Amino acid sequence: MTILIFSALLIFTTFIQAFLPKFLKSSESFGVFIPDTHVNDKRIVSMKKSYTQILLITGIAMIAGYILWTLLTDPSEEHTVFVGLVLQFITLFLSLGLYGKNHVNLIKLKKEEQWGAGQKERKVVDLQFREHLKLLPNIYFIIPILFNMGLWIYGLSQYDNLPSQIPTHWGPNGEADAFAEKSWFSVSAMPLMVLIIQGMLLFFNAAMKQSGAKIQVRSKKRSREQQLAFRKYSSWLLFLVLITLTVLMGYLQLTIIHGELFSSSSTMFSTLAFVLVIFGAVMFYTVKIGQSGSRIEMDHLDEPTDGVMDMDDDRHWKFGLIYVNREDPSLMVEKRFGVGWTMNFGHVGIWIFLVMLIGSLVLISTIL
Amino acid sequence: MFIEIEADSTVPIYLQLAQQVIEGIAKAELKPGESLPSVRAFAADLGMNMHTVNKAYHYLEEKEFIQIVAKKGVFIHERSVRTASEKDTTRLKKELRPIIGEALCLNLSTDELQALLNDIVRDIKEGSR
Repeated sequence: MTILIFSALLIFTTFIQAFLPKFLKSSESFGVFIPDTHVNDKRIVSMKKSYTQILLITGIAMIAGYILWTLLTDPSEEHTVFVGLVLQFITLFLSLGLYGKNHVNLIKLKKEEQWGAGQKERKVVDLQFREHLKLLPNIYFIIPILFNMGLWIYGLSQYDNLPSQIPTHWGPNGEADAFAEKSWFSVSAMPLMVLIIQGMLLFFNAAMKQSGAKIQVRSKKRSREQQLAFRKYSSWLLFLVLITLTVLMGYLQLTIIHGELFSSSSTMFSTLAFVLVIFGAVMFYTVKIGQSGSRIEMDHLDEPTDGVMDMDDDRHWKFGLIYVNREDPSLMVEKRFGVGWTMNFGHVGIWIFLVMLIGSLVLISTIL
Repeated sequence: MFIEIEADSTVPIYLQLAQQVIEGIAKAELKPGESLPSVRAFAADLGMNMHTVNKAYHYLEEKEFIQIVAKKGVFIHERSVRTASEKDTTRLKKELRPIIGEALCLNLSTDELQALLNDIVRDIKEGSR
């Protein structure tokens, strides 16, 4: 079972990392802004190709070696987990290293050959963007929050009937395997954790509304449609995570209160269903929508324009991965190397958010 | 309506913003009562400081092209397209003066200036820059 889970995880990370460039827009390669005139540069294409090949070959070799090793030597459970984790880290470091190498090379190439010289840098704003933006309203996110709070109060109201040991962790077979002494706090711990995560998801949805739209000067209409779609699906994904998480955690909270009503196999089944639903949704999001909606096909919307290019914002991206822009009031921005969102670390609001989030999680786990 | 900002232009960014909004009104792409993005959202889209947008909005408000309603938002002024008042004409005259001065230095005749004017009016209405 362990070898199956870890091999699946390894295959997943390997493929995601290896094929990542395929899901990204061509205007940004390895975290570097590429002017339209150079998006089909042979060197960039071959960089992406070799990135994919190297990661695939090493990844597959490692997975094969891992499986072979467990079959031949029949190692203990702990050893299998340990080696699996090490391989996981190697995969991540390898892809990060390769990314870094390509990132540095591309920056050098772009500077030396002065890509985009002679073209005017332009920034495009659609004045009606937010009127067309269809994010799920924040009020939708409040309903699951209220549901969780209801369960919390219900749990506290049943305090006298609860067992003296409160489960805090469940094993892969759905049986509780770690417990805490019964107290007002240990009964509240789970709903409190859920509340924090729910608050985080609500924050993301709200921040997305204010996040700056990236409209490309050479394909204004197409990029606007893709941006609108990308944001809409991002909001839906957040909501899906919120709902499924609330249901799963609500279910676990009920098993604490009324343990006799539920079997451990149904706990295992609902956790598995949760993982599969989230996994499926993320895959759909990555494959069908892609970075900033770049995989949504939309052709022939724009007249071709010459002599202009998008604003080069490389200077705001540290290492092409971390966005720091004190001027920009956006809390969240679209990722540069990856599908999804990242934070503006130049915004004081993000630091307040992070301190509150991490602080409250640390607080709960230390008290418990 | 799309607005395009050029970073290396000699025209300050807030003026580029304001001028393009005014042209949008002139060619009726922006209609009276229509709403404009909030200062925060606009600045986020630009990836620039909120002061820049604020400055542009105040410039437009002063000329009565937009209306800033506290807690409600920013709207194209109901009287953005209007018969020029005496105040409007005086202001326009003053703002045109240095340009005309430049034209006189370049020995442009009144007829040539007139032709230039017609060109610009046509360009704005057709939306070419």
